[in-house]
Amino acid sequence: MQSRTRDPESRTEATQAAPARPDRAEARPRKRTPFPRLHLASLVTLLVIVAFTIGLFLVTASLHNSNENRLLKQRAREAGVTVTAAVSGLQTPLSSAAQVAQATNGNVDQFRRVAASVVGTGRSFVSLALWRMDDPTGPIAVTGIAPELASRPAGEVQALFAKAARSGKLTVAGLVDQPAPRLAYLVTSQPAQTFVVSAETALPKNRTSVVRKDQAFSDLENAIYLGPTARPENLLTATTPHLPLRGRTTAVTVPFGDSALTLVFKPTGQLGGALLARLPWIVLGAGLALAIVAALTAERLVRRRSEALALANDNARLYATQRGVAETLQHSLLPDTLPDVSGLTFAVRYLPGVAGVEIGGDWYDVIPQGDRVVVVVGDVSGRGVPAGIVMASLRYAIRAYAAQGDDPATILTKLGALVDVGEDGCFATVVCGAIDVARHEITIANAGHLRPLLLDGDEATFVSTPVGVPVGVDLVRPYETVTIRAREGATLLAFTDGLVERRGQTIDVGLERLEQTARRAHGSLEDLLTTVLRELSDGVGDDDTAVLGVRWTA
Amino acid sequence: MDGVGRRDDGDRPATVAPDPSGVPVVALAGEIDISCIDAVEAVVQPLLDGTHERLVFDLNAVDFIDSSGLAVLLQAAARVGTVTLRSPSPLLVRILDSNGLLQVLAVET
Repeated sequence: MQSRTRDPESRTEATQAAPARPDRAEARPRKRTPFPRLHLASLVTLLVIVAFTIGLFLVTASLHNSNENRLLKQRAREAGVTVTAAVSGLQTPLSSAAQVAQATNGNVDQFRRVAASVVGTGRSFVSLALWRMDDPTGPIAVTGIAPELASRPAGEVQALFAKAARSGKLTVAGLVDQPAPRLAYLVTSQPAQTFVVSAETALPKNRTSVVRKDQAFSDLENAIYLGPTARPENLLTATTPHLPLRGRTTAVTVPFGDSALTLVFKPTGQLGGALLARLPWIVLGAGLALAIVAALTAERLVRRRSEALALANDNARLYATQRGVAETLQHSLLPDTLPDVSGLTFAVRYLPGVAGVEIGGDWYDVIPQGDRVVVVVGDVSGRGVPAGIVMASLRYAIRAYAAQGDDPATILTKLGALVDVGEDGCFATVVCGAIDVARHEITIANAGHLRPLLLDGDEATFVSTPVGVPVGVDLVRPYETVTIRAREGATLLAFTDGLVERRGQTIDVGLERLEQTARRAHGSLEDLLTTVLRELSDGVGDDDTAVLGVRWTA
Repeated sequence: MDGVGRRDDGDRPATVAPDPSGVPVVALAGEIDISCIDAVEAVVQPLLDGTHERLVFDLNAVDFIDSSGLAVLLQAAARVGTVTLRSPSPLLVRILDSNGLLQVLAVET
């Protein structure tokens, strides 16, 4: 006598689901870090754009730098040209005075007339003096202040005269500081070199001049040195007391008589304009802002995606949980054990459908009652708790009616009072059989259910029960019963449509497969059910499947 | 996740329109099962308020019907005087037959 109740597989599933749930529940709360961390993708976006920005910043800064240098050199060259022009502006009146002296053979009045126009405050010279080449002891005529040269030893003056005569150019006599800073130089008359004209040009106080904003080179600080190098003691004039000039500077040397002037320049601001100067910083600022915006956008997208993923996982978990709950509930509504009845073996299977997240309406029952056993397989339409409630009430009602000794047709008729499809929106198909154990007979009534299959030796036939209307539908005519004899070894299989029904094909295909499979299967009743379920359920059934097997034994 | 009754969203499982004589004709389409039964009921339930004495279900485009779909047909038949099932496929007729429903539902081919 067998008393197996459930399909071992689905039982395993159902019992595993229950203890697994608390673990899942504990694993649920996601770790929340107090500081929101960036995902890798966002971080990479940030770093790439920041790196790109820094690169762009460096390029722009270098462009700006070389542009400033180029502009400075250009401005310095322009300033050099201006200074060269100014130098020739000094040289020309000086040479003119020397020429006049030569032409007039040292006429003092003539010299003074020429000198008067160029000497004085606001003019080129503070002192202009006429000397005879052969008399270095003193000038023959002086306009303006007394030349410093006159206070020097005659030998030194003689040497300067000789130098000027040799070069034939403006000859620098030196820098004079007392009483006021001046630059002294001289030139010889041409071509005879009989006379020498000495001159002094005033230098700004402290040799520092103020550059007015509207002056041509007001955008440059400058320092002008006498000589080919920028030696501090040779400073002639500068626009700033902070010397030497440091930072971005450039030097230009222009000829000055037999010597030279060294001009050092430094821009006071940005030669290329403020915008160009700020461009690298604008690029840096905009780039960093872009990096942050891009990273935040990437972060939002990544988050949204991971949230969607988490949601999908939650749904999957919820589905598994619901499915577990449904199976557990379903099993609680089905018999725990099957009775031991001498001369009979029972076996049952219940498989939730693929869509089994809700309770199905399939059930089976085996009810021993005196010298008979009532067996039932039923299927309530729909799913979920309402179907489960109807199923449970039908199942227990059948037990009650069976206990009263009602025959299957009466049982089905009475069930009709419990369900009304017009009211409840659901109905049930039920096949109910009463086994007379002693007489090896079974009397079957059928309310809209698939006919049971009788296996006897190699014979397999669907019991030709008259199919009445389902429970819940008004009776058209009374339920009829059919009684068959079952020999020893015979097997009756009652099942729900989930076993044989496949979409896109008529139910007869499934019934035919069941018949063929059952006919070939040998061994115990359990083996038969296992084979039948394996062959027919093939993992694609949408609907629940319940199978009840009865075998007559010795 | 929703493994059953997958259908195109644009293709509605149930639509209703009156025939020339004013009888509501509910046209069902596709696989009528638990996954779309709410949509079907939303169309059918308003027709069961007692104002109609006849109701026609056009089953021409139905490929499959499960017990929840049959329940809708049976509920309509229980509430409305005459319910006719128009043009069911042989596969559907077989389902109706195996459920003993050809006794209670009028089929019009």
